[in-house]
Amino acid sequence: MASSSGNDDDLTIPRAAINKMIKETLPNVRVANDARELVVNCCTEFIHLVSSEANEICNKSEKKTISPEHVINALESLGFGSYITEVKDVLQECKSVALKRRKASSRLENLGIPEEELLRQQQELFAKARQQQAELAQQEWLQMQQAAEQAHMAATSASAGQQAGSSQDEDDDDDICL
Amino acid sequence: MPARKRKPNVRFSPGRIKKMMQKDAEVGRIAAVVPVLISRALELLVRGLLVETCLIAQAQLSSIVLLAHMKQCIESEKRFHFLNELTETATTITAHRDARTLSMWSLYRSTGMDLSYRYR
Repeated sequence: MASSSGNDDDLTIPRAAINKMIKETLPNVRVANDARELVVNCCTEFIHLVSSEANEICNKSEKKTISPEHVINALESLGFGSYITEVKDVLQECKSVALKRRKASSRLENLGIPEEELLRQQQELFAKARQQQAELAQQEWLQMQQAAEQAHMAATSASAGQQAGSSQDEDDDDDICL
Repeated sequence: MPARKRKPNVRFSPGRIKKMMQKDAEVGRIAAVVPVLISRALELLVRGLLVETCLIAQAQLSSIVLLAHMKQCIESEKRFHFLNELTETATTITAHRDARTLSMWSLYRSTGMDLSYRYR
């Protein structure tokens, strides 16, 4: 992040997100500015509340990572049990999305070709490409050599004819300059 | 990479939520899906808060939802009581603003008051 406006201590949910929620929840209702500000800060407070409670539950469970289960139990103990159904729905949605993603990558593997074989094919393709590049380079080199030889011959014949007249040189110059 | 099309709900940034969670020094590792769950819970909280506050405002025949209404909402529901401290700070600032015409002290203060709430 290039710009760091505000310290880390002022972390809140963005005001715009809250405004959007207000607009969606209470369309055509005027809400005072300081009330909106309060909502922003309520979010912060809620996050700390749930985090703290979930963390405590997590510690009791002897696990090191706060899991969805801990969060759900935290909501229950804090009196937000009515939120649990929808929170569980989100959890299910996330799980199914993750599952789909994993299936997609394994479907690719199961084209019938094991990974080692795919690797071998890839190496083959690389080798082929390298060979083609080498041939191309060689051709270019030969062409350059031929062109150089021609240029050299042209130069020697030109210098031989230089004694004949300067106008010839001018013509040659014209040819080269195109 | 965040796949927005897969989760079309109005969501709060899970990255931001995770950072906020880890403000607490006690909090250690967090499963990747957890901030997403908290985002949803937040959504529900905000919605609940707004709807209830709006009802209170309407009951008082106010066309605008005010801070005072929200404060009442927070006091009325037990599970919102964790927000009580917040409302006290908020009310104080509003009261200061309202008393601007009465107190001389406020004249010597800069008008751009910082409303950020500091935690810990």
